[in-house]
Amino acid sequence: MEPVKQDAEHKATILLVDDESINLSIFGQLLTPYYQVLVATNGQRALQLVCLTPKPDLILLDVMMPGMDGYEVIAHLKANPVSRDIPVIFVTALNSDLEEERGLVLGAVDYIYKPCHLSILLARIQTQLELKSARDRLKDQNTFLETEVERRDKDNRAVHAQLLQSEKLAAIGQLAAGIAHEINNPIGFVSSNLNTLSCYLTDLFCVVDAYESTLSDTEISKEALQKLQELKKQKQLDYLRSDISELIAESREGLLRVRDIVQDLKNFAHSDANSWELADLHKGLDSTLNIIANELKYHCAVHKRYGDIPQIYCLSSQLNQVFMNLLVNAGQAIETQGEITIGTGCTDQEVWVEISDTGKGIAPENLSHLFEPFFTTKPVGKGTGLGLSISQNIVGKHGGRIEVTSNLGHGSQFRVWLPIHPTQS
Amino acid sequence: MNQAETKILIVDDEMNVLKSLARLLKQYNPITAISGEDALILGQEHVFDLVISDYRMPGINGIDFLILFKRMQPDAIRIVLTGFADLDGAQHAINEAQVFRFINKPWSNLEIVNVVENGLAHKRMLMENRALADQVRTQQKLLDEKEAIIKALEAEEPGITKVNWAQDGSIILDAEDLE
Repeated sequence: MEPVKQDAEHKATILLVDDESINLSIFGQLLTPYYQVLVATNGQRALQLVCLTPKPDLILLDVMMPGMDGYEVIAHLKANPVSRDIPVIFVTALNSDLEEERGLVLGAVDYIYKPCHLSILLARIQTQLELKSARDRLKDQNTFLETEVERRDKDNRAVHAQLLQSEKLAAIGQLAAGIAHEINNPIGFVSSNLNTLSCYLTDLFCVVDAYESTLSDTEISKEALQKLQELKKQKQLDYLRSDISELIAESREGLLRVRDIVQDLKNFAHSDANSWELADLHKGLDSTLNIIANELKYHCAVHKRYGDIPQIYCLSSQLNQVFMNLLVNAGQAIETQGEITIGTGCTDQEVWVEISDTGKGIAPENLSHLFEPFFTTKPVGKGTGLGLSISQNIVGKHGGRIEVTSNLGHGSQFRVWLPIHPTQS
Repeated sequence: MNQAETKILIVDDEMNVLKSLARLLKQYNPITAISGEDALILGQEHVFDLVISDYRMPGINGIDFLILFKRMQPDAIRIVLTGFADLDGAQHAINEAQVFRFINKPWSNLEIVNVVENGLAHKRMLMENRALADQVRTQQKLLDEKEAIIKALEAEEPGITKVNWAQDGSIILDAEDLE
């Protein structure tokens, strides 16, 4: 078998390691027409050469050398990540099975005895080079595939995160009117009160001014006092005194409420949804309830039956999204008037949150489709069909599960089970 | 109809809103109700000139309340005050409850006072209009009665209603009468 002659650039590089220059020159003459040949007369030099470019594609290694012998050289080669993958063929006068075995165990790909037929040597070299290039190709491909898989996995995760965020925003969008109402009420009365207060102050200062001008007189006449009394009465000073403190207290309460709603919204919508933290589920439930209060309070009585549960390690913002989906669903299942009960409890390993309603229930044929993406029985604009699918996804990420029971015409119960110590993936 | 006699009812499920509106309309001494149901009960005890109601409330909503209230006291001016109303609600309010004005929350005090004054003026005018119409009707009735008498006389004595009286009470005869 004649190796194909190649351009200098594409020629494979072979490193010859032998302490006898005669061997080097014979092999060298034989190989130069087909390969680029590097030579080293001892192990040290060989180890230096493999770290330079061009990196040898194959090493022909003598075993018996003064100083560092071939076995030691191959041990060093295999220990270095740079040279580990370069195939090594032992070329030796040591003619014994034991020696050959030792060489192969150390990682040589072939073992050739000197003297040998030159065409056989060429054929063996060629085989090893082809094997190496095939291996290299496979390795490249594997690296490519690995990075590709990693990239797609990352894309996937990014899309999923985006989906989560979008669904959350869509849900908030649907709730926007209710939230606006919830904020507009306190803003309405606070600003109205402030305007009223400014009228009160005008009256107050009018009385104060009258007092001042009376006081500046050297002698206060009975008439002037009478006038002051009348003015006080006319401006209803006693009423102002009691009403102003009420007005301020009510306005303060209104502002606190706006602040709380904004805080709840921030807690709920904050996009840093991927941080695991120790969280109190009751807090999340309360926050979520505040946001959707307007969706529920006009037709549902909400009962809290919170049990004693430990804090759990979780993605709290994402769990809030789950609770919101379940609560909004419960509210929408109730057509006229009904009740929603939020219960919590725990076992040794898990905590549960149950949201049950006295709504219209779920038809048995729909139960199996509940968690499918885009499955919805709600009218257009009332739901994306993604809520439960995403909820299950989130709960699944925590290593938990959602259990559903429903009684058509009587209501549904959704129970979310979450491990107290989730094993994070 | 002076302010002391004017009766205003304010309905909202939020106590603080009721208080601030009552403060704002203090001169009218408004009565407040925390729900539509309560307001309907109040409607049986008092006659109101003007009602302001929130839209979204637990129990009966503002529009449904106003529709019922309209049946009880059709003359009261109806105003809706709301933080949010969908198109359906607004349509319902205008067509069924025939509200006078729709005011958004958060409201401006000036707007409320203005709307209330306008509403009351509107009501005053309606009432005046009705009184005048009644007056016209009674007068028309009197006229009709007189007309009937004249007709009867004319039937008995043709031409008796066409007698020409002189200023001194004498009857003026012209050439035709003498024929």
